[in-house]
Amino acid sequence: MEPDEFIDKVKGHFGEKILSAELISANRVHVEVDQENLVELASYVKHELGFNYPDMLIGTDRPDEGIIELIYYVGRMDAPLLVGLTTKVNRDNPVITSMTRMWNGFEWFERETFDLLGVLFEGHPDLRRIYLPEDWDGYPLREDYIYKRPRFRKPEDFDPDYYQKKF
Amino acid sequence: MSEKTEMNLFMGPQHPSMHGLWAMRLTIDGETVLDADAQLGYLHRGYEKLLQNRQYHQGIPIADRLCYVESMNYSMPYAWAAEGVFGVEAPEKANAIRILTHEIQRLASHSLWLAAMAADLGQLTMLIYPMNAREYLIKLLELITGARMTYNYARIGGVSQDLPPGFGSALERTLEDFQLKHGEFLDMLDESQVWRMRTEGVGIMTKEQAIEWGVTGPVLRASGVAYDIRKIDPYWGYERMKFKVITRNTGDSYARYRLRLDEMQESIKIIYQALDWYNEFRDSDPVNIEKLPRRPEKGKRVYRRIEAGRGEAGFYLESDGTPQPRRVRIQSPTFQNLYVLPKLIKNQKLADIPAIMGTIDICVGDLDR
Repeated sequence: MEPDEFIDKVKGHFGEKILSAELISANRVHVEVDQENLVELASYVKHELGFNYPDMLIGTDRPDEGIIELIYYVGRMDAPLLVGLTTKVNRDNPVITSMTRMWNGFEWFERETFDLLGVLFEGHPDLRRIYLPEDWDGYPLREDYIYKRPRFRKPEDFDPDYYQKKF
Repeated sequence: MSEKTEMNLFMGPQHPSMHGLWAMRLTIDGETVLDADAQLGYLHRGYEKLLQNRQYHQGIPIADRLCYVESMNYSMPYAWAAEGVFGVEAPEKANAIRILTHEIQRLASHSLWLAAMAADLGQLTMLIYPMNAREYLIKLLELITGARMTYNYARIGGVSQDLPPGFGSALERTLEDFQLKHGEFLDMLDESQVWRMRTEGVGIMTKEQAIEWGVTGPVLRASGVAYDIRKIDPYWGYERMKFKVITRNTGDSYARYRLRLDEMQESIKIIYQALDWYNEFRDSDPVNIEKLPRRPEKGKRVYRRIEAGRGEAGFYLESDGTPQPRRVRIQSPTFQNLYVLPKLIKNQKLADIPAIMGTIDICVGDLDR
């Protein structure tokens, strides 16, 4: 599928709901929508246009605009085109519907975005920190994050039930 | 005993087949794995933030260290993505060198994988053979760059230096030798009844699952999806190289192992073609440094990806007009391939975990970024 063809189809189907649709570089298209239209767009892109391959999730903190920008990259198995489904969430209350129901492969990407940027994904099957310890303070990829040396933890500080828990 | 007895088992980071720095919490019942949870982050170095706070060219040696097994395949796409931000293009000679080093690095990476995986499955002779083969490939890269593992060879707009004199004959000698060794790998493993019993029919992933879970590289192709970025989204002049995209349909551990061995043969073909292509530009310069602007254009966003040894490796760069990038996002293949491992080992035997995990080809450096 050619980039122009994709942009025409999405614009034709959604009209005003598409805030912007542009070719950012060769074979990469970013389509921006409001947060509440994202699931509808994702469903159309996956089921009607056949973009069934989850490629990557990019989260960018933009404190001057007060938002966190999320870009879900999805692709097709027979075309070089990658589509970035872009949306913005409020930085102070970053809650958004999880895309894992549409593309299972975003599970760890969303966990990572939660871990480093603090975005809460509603409906995610297992939203925990992935890289940092579970008692870490703050979200390191936010622009206003200040690193504090973590407190040394004695054995009695750990949750004794942690390793007994079923998961 | 008739009643079920569940047990939690912590596998790694000390377990020899966990390759150092990650762990798995398993729930087992006897020998059967009921559930698994991967624990990452032992090697998390915050690369995205690190690259964000440095100038573009300072990111090249850092990107090298992203995966210590195939550094060339991470610093090259970084430099290439930065080229997109600055709006420059590498000369064709540099592209020929890039393809050449890219494929040599893939051979070296696959050799190391084979050694590690064979040792995981108890084939200790095969720990030595591919390691030996890899040594000569690393020597080639040392000849070009002067370093064995982290090369710092990529540049924005080309590569740092030309190939040394006499490289062509050294390359041909090494590859002839590697062909012989490759035959030995197949003799040692493919003919071995034990090896086939341990890998065949283990950890099966269907085509639909592979696409849905978003795995990349050899793991995806072993499930029957002919998705190779070199073919489907060609870069650096791969459109002029003649090679086959290898796929296998069974999707088990054996398919993933055998696919990588077949891929090595294709890589050798590409290296010869890239050498011929390189020889067309004898006296030109391999770097395009005069045209590089001081500051990139504001608001430029680029995502560029290549087919590294483990799958799709890429960099998303966003510029804000300053000498430092606004946002760097690293796409690392191991992260997405490891995501499926807990799903693959569910309801399998405990002893099959190394056989499945080995064929995922883990590099913790790019897993944890």
